[in-house]
Amino acid sequence: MSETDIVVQTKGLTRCYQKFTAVDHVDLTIRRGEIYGFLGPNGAGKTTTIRMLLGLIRSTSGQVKIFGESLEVKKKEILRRVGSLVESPSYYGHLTGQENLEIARRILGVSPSNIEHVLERVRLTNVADKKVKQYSLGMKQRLGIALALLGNPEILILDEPTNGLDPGGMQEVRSLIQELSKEQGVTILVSSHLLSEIDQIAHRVGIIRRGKMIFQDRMETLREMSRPRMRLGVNRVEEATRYLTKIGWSVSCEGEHIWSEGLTNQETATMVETLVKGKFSVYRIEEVKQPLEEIFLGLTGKEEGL
Amino acid sequence: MILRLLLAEGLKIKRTWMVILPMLGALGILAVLIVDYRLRSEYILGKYPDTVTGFLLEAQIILPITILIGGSLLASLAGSMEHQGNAWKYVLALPVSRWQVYLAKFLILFFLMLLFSGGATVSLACLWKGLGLTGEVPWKTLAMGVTWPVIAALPVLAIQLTLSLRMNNQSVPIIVGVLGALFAPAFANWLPWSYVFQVVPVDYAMSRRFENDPSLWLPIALGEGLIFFIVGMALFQRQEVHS
Ligand SMILES: Nc1ncnc2c1ncn2[C@@H]1O[C@H](COP(=O)(O)OP(=O)(O)O)[C@@H](O)[C@H]1O
Ligand SMILES: [Mg+2]
Repeated sequence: MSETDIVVQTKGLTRCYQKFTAVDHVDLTIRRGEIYGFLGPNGAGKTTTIRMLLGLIRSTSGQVKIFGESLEVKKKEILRRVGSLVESPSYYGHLTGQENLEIARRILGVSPSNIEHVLERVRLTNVADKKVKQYSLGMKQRLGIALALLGNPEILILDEPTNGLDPGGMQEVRSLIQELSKEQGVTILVSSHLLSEIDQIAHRVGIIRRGKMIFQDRMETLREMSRPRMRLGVNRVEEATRYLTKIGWSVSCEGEHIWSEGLTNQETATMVETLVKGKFSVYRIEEVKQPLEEIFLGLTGKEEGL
Repeated sequence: MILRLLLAEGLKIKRTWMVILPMLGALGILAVLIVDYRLRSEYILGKYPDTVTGFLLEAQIILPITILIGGSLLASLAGSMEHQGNAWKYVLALPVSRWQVYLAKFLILFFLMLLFSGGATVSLACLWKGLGLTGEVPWKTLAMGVTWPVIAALPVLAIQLTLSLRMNNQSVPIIVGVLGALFAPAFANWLPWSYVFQVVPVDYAMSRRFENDPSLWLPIALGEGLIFFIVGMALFQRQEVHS
């Protein structure tokens, strides 16, 4: 992976509010063309990070580089190539959807046909002449995505784009993200507090918790963490665990069961044989697959609630 | 770029009170002066050295206060537009310089004030005709009579726009604008709100507490307006966008 393939890079990005550190030394790396899932419970610091990426707020320390250039130095040039939707949608309520897009179009200086195009993309063409204050939250959110797409961005930053959408709407946004990635090679940062939102579409994920990046890798790697575990029901469970450990098995005793990880079929058979030879009764053997959600919760802490 | 921003700004004010307000202000002035001349025509005509002077000085009962309060309202409407739909985080993530965004807002505000000047000039001319005052309509003097106070209001416009851009809640800027207009002129003639009262283009030292002298106060207002404008621009440049 060469340097030029990295389109967004932060180093030690930090933001404090008085004594509270909302974003704490975050090193975020996004590569060209990928869908990057930015995950974390509410209040973890996703929006604060994104605001810094867009130059909406200052960082307390650390740097942001986009397209290899410092955001501070080349802000305008960088923002020309970035489209964004941050948190709740932005709009002028007294104007129509079409007029809202026209305002942005005049500033961006792009062709009027872009408006028709993005309206179609988010399926708002039929309500384009309605005032935005009459839009439902879902429609406002879609207008927000249209606004983000208007300047044909190379990087699309979407902060919780499915907030307030019904399940159908959520699916639509996910499909749109995948289309943009596949057909136009747009690099996309999409944040969410729900793993299920990101799981299906992201190539790589960054998980942030209490302002700290606690995981950043390929989605595959996160999935591998959910490798199945073997659960054995035996009698005299603690004694059996000690017996197996003593002869070199890596097992643990949790509750009424012996747990083991990453056993092949042969290893499983051998372990059962060993137990039987040791005069333990094996009641049942089960393979337990830990759902991805559990892993995510394990990383971010259940108490923080989703 | 600034032209593009102005075009965008122009579209934003569509269907808002901002377009109607300057015209209402001009009509309001006409209405008040009609009542004034109806009730005290004899007294007014006897009080002043000539008709034009009397005309402009009588307009003082309503013109400066309309400019100050109307200007504060316009600044609030222009400055709060993005707060309402949480649009700052979108607008300021577009490839624009913040100082240009601020400049465009200020220019639109000033343009609407000039629209008011135009309307008020026509109002006064109509009144002149309607009253059957002697001589030609003194267009130039009337235009100066309403435009100079608008220029003298530049420092106040800059203060108000800056406050309205900074604050989510518009009640503070509005209160500052109204209190400033009502009380500052009585307090001291060097306060930004006072200049509007002190630039009547007539050769007539106004009695009482006002010190009428356009050649003194107009340059002061322009200079101070520029300073407040730059300060407001610098503050906007540094403003963080949280909502
Ligand atoms: N303007 C602010 N002042 C003080 N604290 C803030 C401000 N903005 C955000 N925070 C705090 O920073 C933390 C992270 O917030 P945010 O980035 O919005 O989280 P997320 O988007 O992941 O839900 C939260 O605890 C929030 O209360
Ligand atoms: Mg958020």
